[in-house]
Amino acid sequence: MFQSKLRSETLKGVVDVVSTLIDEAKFVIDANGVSLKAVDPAHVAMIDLHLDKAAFEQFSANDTELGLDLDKLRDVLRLSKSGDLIEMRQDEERNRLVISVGNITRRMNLVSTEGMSDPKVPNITLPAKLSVNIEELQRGIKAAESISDHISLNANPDGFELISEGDTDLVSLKLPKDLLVSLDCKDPVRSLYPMDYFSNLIRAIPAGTVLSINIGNDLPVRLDFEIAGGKGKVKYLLAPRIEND
Amino acid sequence: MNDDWTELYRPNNLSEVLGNPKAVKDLRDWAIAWESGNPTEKAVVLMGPPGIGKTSTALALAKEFNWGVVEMNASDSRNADAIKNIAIRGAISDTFTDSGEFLSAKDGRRKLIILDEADNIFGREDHGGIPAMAELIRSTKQPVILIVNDFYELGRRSSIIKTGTKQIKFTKLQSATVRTILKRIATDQGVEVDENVVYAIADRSNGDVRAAIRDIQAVAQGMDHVRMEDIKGLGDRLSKHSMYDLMGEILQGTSGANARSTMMDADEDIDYVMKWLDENIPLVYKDPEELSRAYAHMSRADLFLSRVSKRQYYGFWSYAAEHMTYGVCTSKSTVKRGYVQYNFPKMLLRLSRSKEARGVKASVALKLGSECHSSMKQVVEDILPYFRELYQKDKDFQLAISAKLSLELEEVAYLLDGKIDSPAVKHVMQEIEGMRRNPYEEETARIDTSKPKKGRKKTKEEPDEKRLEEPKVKREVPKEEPKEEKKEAPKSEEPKGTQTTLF
Repeated sequence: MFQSKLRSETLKGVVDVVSTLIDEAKFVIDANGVSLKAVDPAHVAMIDLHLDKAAFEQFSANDTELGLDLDKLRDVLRLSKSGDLIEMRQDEERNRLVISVGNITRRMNLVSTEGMSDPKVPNITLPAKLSVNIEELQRGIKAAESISDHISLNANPDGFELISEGDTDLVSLKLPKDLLVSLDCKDPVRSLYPMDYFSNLIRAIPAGTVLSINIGNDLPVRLDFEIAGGKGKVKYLLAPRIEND
Repeated sequence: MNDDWTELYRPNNLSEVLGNPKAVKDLRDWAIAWESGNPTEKAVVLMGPPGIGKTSTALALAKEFNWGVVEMNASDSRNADAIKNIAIRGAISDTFTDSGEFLSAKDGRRKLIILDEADNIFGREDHGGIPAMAELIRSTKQPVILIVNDFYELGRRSSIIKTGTKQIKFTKLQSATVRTILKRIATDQGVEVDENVVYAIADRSNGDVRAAIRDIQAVAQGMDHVRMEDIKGLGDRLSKHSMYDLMGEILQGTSGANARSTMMDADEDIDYVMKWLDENIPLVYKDPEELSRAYAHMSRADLFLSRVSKRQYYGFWSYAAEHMTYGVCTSKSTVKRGYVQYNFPKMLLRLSRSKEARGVKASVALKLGSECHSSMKQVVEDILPYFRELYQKDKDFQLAISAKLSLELEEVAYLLDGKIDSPAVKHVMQEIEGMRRNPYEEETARIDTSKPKKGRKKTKEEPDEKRLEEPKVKREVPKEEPKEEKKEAPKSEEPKGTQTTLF
């Protein structure tokens, strides 16, 4: 059973963050809130999201699963504006989700969750940890995007640097320690990532967020941030690009 | 749990794969090379008839080596974007598995990219799939497996798929191997299956394990003991006549009634039988009079078939069938003995091989037709042969017209008689790209002015420009912007001469 009311912008935040990696998602719901774990179709990135029940205006549920087509959710969001209340109710008999925005009601068939995986977030030790205002990164990504199809993330005790190096050009975004919110790094680390993934993830993160980044040497990067005013938590993991040996 | 036994009993590692030992060994060697990071070929092609374990072997390989799997099969869209977004993006990065484990290529933990039914990538929905596949093979940093039934077809469409891959052949399984698999499954399910049942199912599978497993699931699921009489349900199909039986009965048999009843049992499409007969009658009937009688019946049957479709009255099927069986069978004046190797209709073979080419030809004809104010048919008959000649010989014309008609990769390849990833074709595509970006050179104009041959008049330049856009939009060509600049360029440049008169 699942019945809830939430603000349009909360739902939009969730949809934005999830749909950058996957088209269909399995939301696991229990009495404490909604969570989702998924690996993208190319098996390169992963998302772990939890939305606490406090993020909802009204929330009542016991354990259930909802398979949702994110494009459809987006359609519903288009009907609403920021601040609108969206009501969602699971129709278990017909295996549907009923969504109401104002006077509009939309019923949507749920997607079968049978084939969807249940990934666990891997336990990877990442030696460097830093946090930064997302705007700083978004600006840098914009400059780096057209240069190359990969981007390297470098951290050392003095700061954090993004480098995108193409055949002819190079863009680097240097964030010395004082421009970062925090930095915890003993030895220099570096990893290379696919540009399209990294920029899509960074772009999906809402403005005003403080993003925490964990990196290592040729290891996945973990991005942690909060959504829904601190009532939701998102973890992205992105696998490194294979460098030519 | 999984209800489909063909899924449930997939092998868990390569040692569990039965049959095709050489292929399995080759595949394992290839995987070991990947583990240490330096395979000679980055991709392999598994080829062979359906249902003999190609996909199962690929998946077993991934399990044995603890690799991740990204699989795209015919139920996924496999156009250029899909292959780029999933296979190629996956192929250049490390991996998270479905269970959330991180695999690093440095440790030999790979991601196996499987393109199943890779010879079935065609058509509008899979547009650009083949070049994307070639790109995948070229750029991948992870192991790639292509699975095909018909390698010839795929290799013909792209040379890198032929040269850049290791090809591993799978053959039909022997009946004994199929029996082993069936017995294991029966034991696992706790069903007692009589030996003759196992034999019957294995024999009729003709080496197709998937079919055999489906059959045993159909008869054994929920049973304790399967006896011969229990497989009556399959029994009907067991006695099912193949097309070869039918041909034999009609062309070499002496009883029209038998031929007719065989056809009833054969469960083959009547149009299909007609094509088979058409192909095989001359193999058996050598006497001109027999031939003439037989084909008289065939033509009557054909008439009935066309009435079936015209009037949508399926009752005529039975008349057509009588002519094809009784009629053709009784057309012979002597008994036909001896073994005859009946052939698959060549017409169908040719049609399926040329499917792609015909599609491309049609799209070229459509584009050209809207330029020449002609129907596609007319273009194909009157213009295309000359156009193609001209296109191959005159480089300037080639580039100009390619840009003007917004020809696509496949179309250029067709006109040049080359493969889509051959250097010549690529060169032309690059040039066109360049022309689209640099608006100043607009040779297209020349062709424009010289068009109205064959008495077809063109009123003005502009409306034509518009019409040109139409087919383009339908074919989803992304490049559209630079069209604007073209308009003024034409007048400023004088035709250079040679090709003006030709077209």
